[in-house]
Amino acid sequence: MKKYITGIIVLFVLSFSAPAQNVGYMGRHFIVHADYHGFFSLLKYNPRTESRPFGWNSRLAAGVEAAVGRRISLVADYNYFSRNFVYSSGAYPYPTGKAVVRGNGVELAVKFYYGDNIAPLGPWQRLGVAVHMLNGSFRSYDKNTVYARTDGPVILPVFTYGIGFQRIFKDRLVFNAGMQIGIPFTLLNFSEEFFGATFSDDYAVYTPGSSGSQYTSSSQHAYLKAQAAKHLFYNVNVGLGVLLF
Amino acid sequence: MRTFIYSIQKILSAAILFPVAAGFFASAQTTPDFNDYHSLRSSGVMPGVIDKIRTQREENEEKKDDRKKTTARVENNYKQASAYFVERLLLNGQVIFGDEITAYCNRVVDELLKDDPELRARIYVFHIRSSAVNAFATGEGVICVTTGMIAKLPSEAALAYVLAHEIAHIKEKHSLKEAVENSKRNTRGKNEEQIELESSMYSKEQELEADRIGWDLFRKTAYASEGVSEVLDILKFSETPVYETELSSTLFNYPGFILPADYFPPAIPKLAGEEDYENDEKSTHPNLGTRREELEPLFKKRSAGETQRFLLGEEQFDLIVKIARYELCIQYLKDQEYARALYHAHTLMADNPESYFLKKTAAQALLGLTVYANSGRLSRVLPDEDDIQGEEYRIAFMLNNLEKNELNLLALHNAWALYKAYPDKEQPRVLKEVLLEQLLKNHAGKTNVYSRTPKDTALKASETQFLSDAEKKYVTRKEKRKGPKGDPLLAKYALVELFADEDFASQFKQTERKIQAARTEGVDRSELARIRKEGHDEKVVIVDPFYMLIDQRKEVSVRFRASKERELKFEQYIQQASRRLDLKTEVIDISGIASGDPVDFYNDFAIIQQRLDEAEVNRGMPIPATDYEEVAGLQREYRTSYFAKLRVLSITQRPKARVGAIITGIFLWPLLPGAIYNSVRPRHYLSYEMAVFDIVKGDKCTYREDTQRKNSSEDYLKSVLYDVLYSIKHTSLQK
Repeated sequence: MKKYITGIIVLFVLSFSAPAQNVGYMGRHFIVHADYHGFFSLLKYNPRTESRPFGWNSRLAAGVEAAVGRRISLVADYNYFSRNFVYSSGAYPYPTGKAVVRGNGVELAVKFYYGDNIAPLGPWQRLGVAVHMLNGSFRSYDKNTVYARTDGPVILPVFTYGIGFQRIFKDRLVFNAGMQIGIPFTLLNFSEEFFGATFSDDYAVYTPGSSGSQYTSSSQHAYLKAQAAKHLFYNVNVGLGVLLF
Repeated sequence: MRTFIYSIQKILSAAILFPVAAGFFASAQTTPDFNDYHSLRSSGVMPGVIDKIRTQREENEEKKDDRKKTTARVENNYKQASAYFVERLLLNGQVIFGDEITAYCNRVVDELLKDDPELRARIYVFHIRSSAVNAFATGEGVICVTTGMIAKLPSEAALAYVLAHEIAHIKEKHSLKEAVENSKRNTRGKNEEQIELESSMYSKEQELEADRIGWDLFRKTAYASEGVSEVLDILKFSETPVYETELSSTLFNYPGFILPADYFPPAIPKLAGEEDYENDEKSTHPNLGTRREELEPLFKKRSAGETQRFLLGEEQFDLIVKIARYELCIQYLKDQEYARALYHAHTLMADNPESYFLKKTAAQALLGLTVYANSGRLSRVLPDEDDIQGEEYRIAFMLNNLEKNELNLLALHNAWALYKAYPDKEQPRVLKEVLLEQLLKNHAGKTNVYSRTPKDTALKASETQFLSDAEKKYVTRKEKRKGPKGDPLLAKYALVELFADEDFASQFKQTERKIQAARTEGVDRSELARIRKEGHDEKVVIVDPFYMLIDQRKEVSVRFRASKERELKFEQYIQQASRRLDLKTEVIDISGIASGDPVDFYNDFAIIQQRLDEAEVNRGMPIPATDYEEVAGLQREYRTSYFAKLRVLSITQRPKARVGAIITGIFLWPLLPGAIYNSVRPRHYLSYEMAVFDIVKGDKCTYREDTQRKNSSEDYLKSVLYDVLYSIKHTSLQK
């Protein structure tokens, strides 16, 4: 993680020491923006109906974007999402409880504007790294009893890639739209537990509670990460911003 | 794309119109000072036709078309386009309002149409600055007669027939009919050549019709029929100079610089003209032989009666022709026809040998040739001697056979003589400075030394050692050359006499030091770096920024109204971006000029526009302005030498299906929306060209052109404009 952040900082510093060039839109290159990310939750499994209905993933983001080169801008975003899912105690072949995972994340990204456009205007592609801190709680099916909570945030680092376009109206108002793909680092490690959790059904097998149970901290984390990964995998986003200076 | 922009600009510059109330111009008759002649300028106020055409354009734009392909729709489309271009032509700086030539032409039209006041009220005659021998009419009732045509006219009757022919085009609405005819023509399965052929056939029919109807108009007046034959003779010799005068080779001799006899041709090709050229298939006009055959029987039938070659008076006619002939000197120089300018100025000197203006024209022409020769581009401005007939061949032969350094030396001698004769004038001083610099930059190394010792003395002192190795090589090369050998030592001893003049010797030394210093010290890199980072404080004047929207999906691709509306906003964007950049800019906007406005602003614009055109064609080579005094005056008035041209085209094309992308998208579904979107959306291009010139020196200070795949929405346009202005702000404009 450290080396990615170092890389982004080096890029940022280099961009300021580069020869004078036209940067920004009409000389303005700092944007404050808020985005909504959403898409059909195609991998969300509903054990009750034994089908995959079109649920909806939502994520909110807010952050800043600074054009640092003719075609490059740096983005720092805060992200928030929440996702419900069902789980089974393992003893029964149907869901026995409901759980929720909440993610707070920070994303640093580099946006490349292409097609003769000057940042921050026009079509772009972005590459980034996000770190999401996940918190989850596992409850009974009627939600009245909390069986377990994560004892601290579960860290999920994610590679992100996006493509979209940005337009500017009235010299200040920024409209942004695009799509984003998020791939967790851990997916690339092919951790059996996580990999299985991500691509198996949401019909999670988890037995909370007493001794001798199937509960393990790592499986809890794996299921939270798996749910977050599904949430972040593909999203379409629209956003508004203000070009400040 | 650049060529496309350039061609549109050329179309817009091709001609100029000018409407007139004849009485108004009658008072404009003055006799210019032909010794110190200055280019014609407009006087009085802007004519009423400008507002009239503007109103016509707006009315045509308001009309709603039937979507079906009807004649009415084609006519309206044509009228819109025509009014748009004529409005631009009226204000492109080539038209002269209220000058003697325009006034005279209008009086001839009064004579032709004295029995038809209704038609007279719809006719506007313009004098266009152009060396071409031409006249033309537009659907709006505008007739343009070029300076080249006036300069060649032998009589008022000939002018009357030229105008009668153009009036016939207007009366018969030929341009409109041609547009309708072209739209009806079935072009399916035909190549461009066939279409062009059919179109030109119709055009030729119209020309013959205009000849006949023009004759009908002409014969009702008291003008002599021979005017018609004279016009055909003019057209026959339209490519040749006004005068056919033998120029003495001694004209180009100076003390210590005598051009060898073999630099001049032993014989010259006879002037033949061009009449019955057979291949007129693609020409818009029938060949002259056909026109003569059609016309001569008509005017032979006419009884001579009381006809005259001059009705308004020969003296007045001679005056306007003389003005046009002096005006041609300027036009030839601006069109880079330097050899023609040199010849023409010398032929005019036969009647006015002491004219400062004519001497200045010759000096400027030689300078132009020198700069082009030194940059290796002489062939661009000097026609091949084989293409020239008559006495002009003598000059072309000499210029084609001079070595580059000899040409430079000849030009320097000429400019120095002018400078000594007119020490108080600004232009000769500049010309000799540029030529000295050219000589020392380009030819000091080849012969190395310009001897200060006369040739005879030097030869007596040492017959073997007076040439350096470099000089020996030069002499050997020259002796081996094809064609005239000339004098191998001409250049070496060319300046001996001039060095005897202390003033010259001192200026020579000074220029030498300046060039040496520039070579050793080089450019101030720290200053360049500072400008690149912080920008400069120079002011830049943006002249008549041009913007055009083209939608190739439509039948009439140019969106006239939208172009006009966007052009107005375009200027606001320039000003806004300039403020953000802290770039001092001023926009010369001619779209606001209306009928009745004083012509002063238009006159300034015309000088600047022509100077920019001249500098643009010269590609930034250091050729001082032809109208040097006027341009220098405007430099003082605007407090800057830097003037810019800016042209933007926005083009929309039909979408192009991206089958491959869609197939890929089917397998990689996240990419599918993008693939579909790209297949159905129109393709947009934003093309721009910007050049900043030093209008006094002629340097091209900075230049940018690009075609980008984007639409012309406000944000994209502003971003592009800001970027263009940023490059102006952060580039050193001093060369």
